[in-house]
Amino acid sequence: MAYSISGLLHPDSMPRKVVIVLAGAACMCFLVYGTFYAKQQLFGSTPAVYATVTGLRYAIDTLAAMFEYEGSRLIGSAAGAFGIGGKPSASLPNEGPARTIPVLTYHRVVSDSNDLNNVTISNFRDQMRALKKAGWSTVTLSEFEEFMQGERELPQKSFLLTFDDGAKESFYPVDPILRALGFNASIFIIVRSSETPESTYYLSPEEIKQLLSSGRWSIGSHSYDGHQPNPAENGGEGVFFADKMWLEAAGRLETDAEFRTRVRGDLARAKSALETRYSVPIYSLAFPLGNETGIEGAANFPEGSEITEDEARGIYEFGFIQTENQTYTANFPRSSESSAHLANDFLVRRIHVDHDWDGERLLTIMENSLPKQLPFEDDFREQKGWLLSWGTLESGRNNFVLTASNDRTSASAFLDGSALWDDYSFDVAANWQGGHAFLLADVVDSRTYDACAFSPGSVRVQRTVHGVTTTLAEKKDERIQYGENARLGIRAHGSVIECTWGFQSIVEMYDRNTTGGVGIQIWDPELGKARVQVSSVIARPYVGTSTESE
Amino acid sequence: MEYAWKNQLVGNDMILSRKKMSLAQGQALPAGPVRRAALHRSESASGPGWFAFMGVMMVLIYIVLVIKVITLDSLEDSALFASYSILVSAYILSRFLLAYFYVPKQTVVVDTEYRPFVSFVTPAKNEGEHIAETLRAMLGSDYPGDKFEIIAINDGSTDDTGAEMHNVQREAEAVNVKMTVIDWERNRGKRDGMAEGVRAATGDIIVFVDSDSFVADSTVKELVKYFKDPAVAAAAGHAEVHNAQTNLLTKMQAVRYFVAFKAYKSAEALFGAVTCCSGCCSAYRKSAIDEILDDWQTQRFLGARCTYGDDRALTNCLLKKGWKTVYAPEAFSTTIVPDTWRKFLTQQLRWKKSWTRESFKAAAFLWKRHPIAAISFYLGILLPLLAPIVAGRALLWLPAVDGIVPWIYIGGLILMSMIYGVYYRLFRKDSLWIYGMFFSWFYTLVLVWQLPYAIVMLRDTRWGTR
Repeated sequence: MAYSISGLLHPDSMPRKVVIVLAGAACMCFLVYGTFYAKQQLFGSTPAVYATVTGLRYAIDTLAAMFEYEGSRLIGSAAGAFGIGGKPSASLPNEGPARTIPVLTYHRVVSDSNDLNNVTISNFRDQMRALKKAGWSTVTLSEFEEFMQGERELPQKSFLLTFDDGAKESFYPVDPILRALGFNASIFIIVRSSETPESTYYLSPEEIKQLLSSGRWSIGSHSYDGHQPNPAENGGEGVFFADKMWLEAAGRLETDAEFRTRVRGDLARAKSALETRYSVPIYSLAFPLGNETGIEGAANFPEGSEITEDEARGIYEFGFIQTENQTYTANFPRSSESSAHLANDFLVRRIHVDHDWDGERLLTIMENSLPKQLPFEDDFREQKGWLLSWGTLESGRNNFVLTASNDRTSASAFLDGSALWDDYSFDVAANWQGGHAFLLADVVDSRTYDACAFSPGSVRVQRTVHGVTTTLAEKKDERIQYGENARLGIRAHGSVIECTWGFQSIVEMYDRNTTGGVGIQIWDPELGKARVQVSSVIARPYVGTSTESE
Repeated sequence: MEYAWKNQLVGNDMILSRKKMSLAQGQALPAGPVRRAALHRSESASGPGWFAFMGVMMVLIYIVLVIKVITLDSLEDSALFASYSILVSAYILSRFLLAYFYVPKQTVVVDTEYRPFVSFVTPAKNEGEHIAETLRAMLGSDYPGDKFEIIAINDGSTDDTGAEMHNVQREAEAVNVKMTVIDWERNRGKRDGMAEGVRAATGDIIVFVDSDSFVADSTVKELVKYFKDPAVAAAAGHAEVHNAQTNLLTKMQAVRYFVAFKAYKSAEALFGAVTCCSGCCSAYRKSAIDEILDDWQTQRFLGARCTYGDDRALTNCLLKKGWKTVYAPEAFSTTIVPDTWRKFLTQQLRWKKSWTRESFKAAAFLWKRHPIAAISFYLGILLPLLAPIVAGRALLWLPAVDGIVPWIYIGGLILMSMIYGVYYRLFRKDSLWIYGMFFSWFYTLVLVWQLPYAIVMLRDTRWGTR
């Protein structure tokens, strides 16, 4: 033996030490292998360092959230026993099942407060706490789907919490808070993005499996690969689901048929991939970029978004969109007799939670979305849920000023939570100094309603359906004039629409065929000039012919 | 400490630590003769504390392994840096593993009849403060008085070093121990002093002891038993820090010394190839030295005479001839280490220069040794040379250019420093282990840049003498 070391090794201790070292090495191999096996199971291809940091933070957050919530709950209940609890929820009687359900949209929940697209962890925590404290609770995606189909009743103040894109930061910072509050949530996955290897941004398929197995999370589709732009002509970029794609090889845009096939292919592939991989049925699609056309809108194919919606309808039961104040905030079930006309047979409206909302602000919006009881009065001291469909609105501090934006001739707002009203009178005290003032009743959405259109010297009863207006009746009356304290009114009852001035009925129309809430519009042919200041409104159940006077 | 010579530690520079002498109350410099025989035995490897620290050690190693597996992934992206990271951990962990197998106590046949004649050799310049104690410690050796001698060389001291030597000489005469004092008018350097001592020595075994190091009573006995094996030419004693409790710096060095000897020298000794039998206390076979004495004394490098790194150079000469060099963990001694940063940095620079010189010399023949010893040795050269590049990239380049915070690098550094600290704590039940970590950080953040400088300054011998 050329390299003898026997002279320095004790022959007797050798076997024992070799065994100890081998056993130690085997243990270490086992532990290290086990560590990476577990990492693979829990985090998939997520880089190990990121996974470790995230995992540790998640564990700490979970404990912290539980302690914090339990602590505040105990203190809260003790305080409640002494009658010094927090401010009671300003909501209306919570009897009976929920008639509408609002849906919240988030993307990621971040620690960076400069991120204008995502809510910070502290705001999110504040929001969830405020909702919890006010008696709100979450529903699962399938509960929501069943509610929308009219197959399930849910308690009042239920809401659906959703996260778009399937980012890691939609889950890890959020789940501890959900766990502590007993909430659950849904996440809309971009299938292709979830397959990004070693991603530190998107949840991997393994993580999605973990999230599903928690019981707190459901998943929906956010398209297969439709979240990124497509090549458009001249080297530009198009919206995947709205614009035609530039086919470089052929040197042309795709045809209508090719567009349709591409969109259908992506949507169907997303559904089947999710169902196969996670063994859950997928009925819901959240349109990438908020809605079918994205924020920018379609550039080269105006029909694109309609085709997409049409194709999506064929594959999914629910298409989640974000719209700004064009419909009521909460969603109505499709089969309910009283509200079926308020429901969309496919689309689901969502509230996009802005980065700077605190819990109070979100809670106000949510509470305002609840069905309001009649009579309803508003002197604009508090936010009661006026949704501005277009124009600008100054509201609050006993003031409500509706003004057209500089590039428009009109402004329009309607009252959230009023959709289920029927047989009511709606009276407005306004400082009306120009243009034409419209009181809306039977508001289904911002483009479908009945209205009384007041002009100096006349009033018309109009019906607007999907933005197309027809005049149903008109009456000239010289009493109608601009004034600081004009009293305008509209009554909707039975088959009658009635316009009042100074509480005096001016004109009636007997062809009313829908129900809905109330709203106010102002119109002036000159751009940016329309303006009306309202000091108070009151909506009352309609009580026969008795006309009130002050 | 006029002579700035100090024993050289291990061959590579990644270790740290140092051990306080377990001299229970361990003040800076005990005034009288130190009872060192018992002092290092307070260590014990048992009890719940030991198991707890062993558990911590296992957890640390586990974390290191996990990080290394992760690093493997980045092997393709940055082959050099990923391999460095993996190799350096493998190297360090393998030191502890190899050291575990080195159990010389049981191997060396203890032959109480084997009592070769031993010559202590101690050159000193202006060491009046410590020299007497150094020599008295030798005098107190638990070894037959007629079987050892002391040779002290007063290398042109301008203080009372010579007088102190003669004082002890009288004490030696009183107990019938032969002691020779060689007085030089003019300073000639440590290496000439050592060589002169060898020539004057009549023993079979020569034990070099630095003028500020102190042997225990049993040290000689423990050292000579290794020479029963005729293939052994040198045995490095175990040195710990005498002034460990002085300040942060000496505490850190205490842990560094401990790990450097206990782990790194054991790992080398397993294959009979300790690359540096330190000057503070090492034994040599005189017949082996005689063969190479002139070559060693007149060693030149890059055209200049070598005036430092004498111990490593001597060991190298013997290794080249094919002799075995071993480590005697029971041969206990203590040594005084620099207690100011300036002195410390000067010493470190000198060590690095001699390390560079001797490593390249040894590289020419160490491949003939056991493959594990050879691989370890070449890694031990390569890794410190790469260290500044890797540290520069992780700590300066990446943060500045790409804005990457070097978490992995810092994490690895902290882990390694903890491993050193815990290793120390496994053998020594005192609180110094915590300081081992500081040294690791200090080493990587400050000392790592010294090696390139040392290489550039290799020809400048002025540093060596002070």
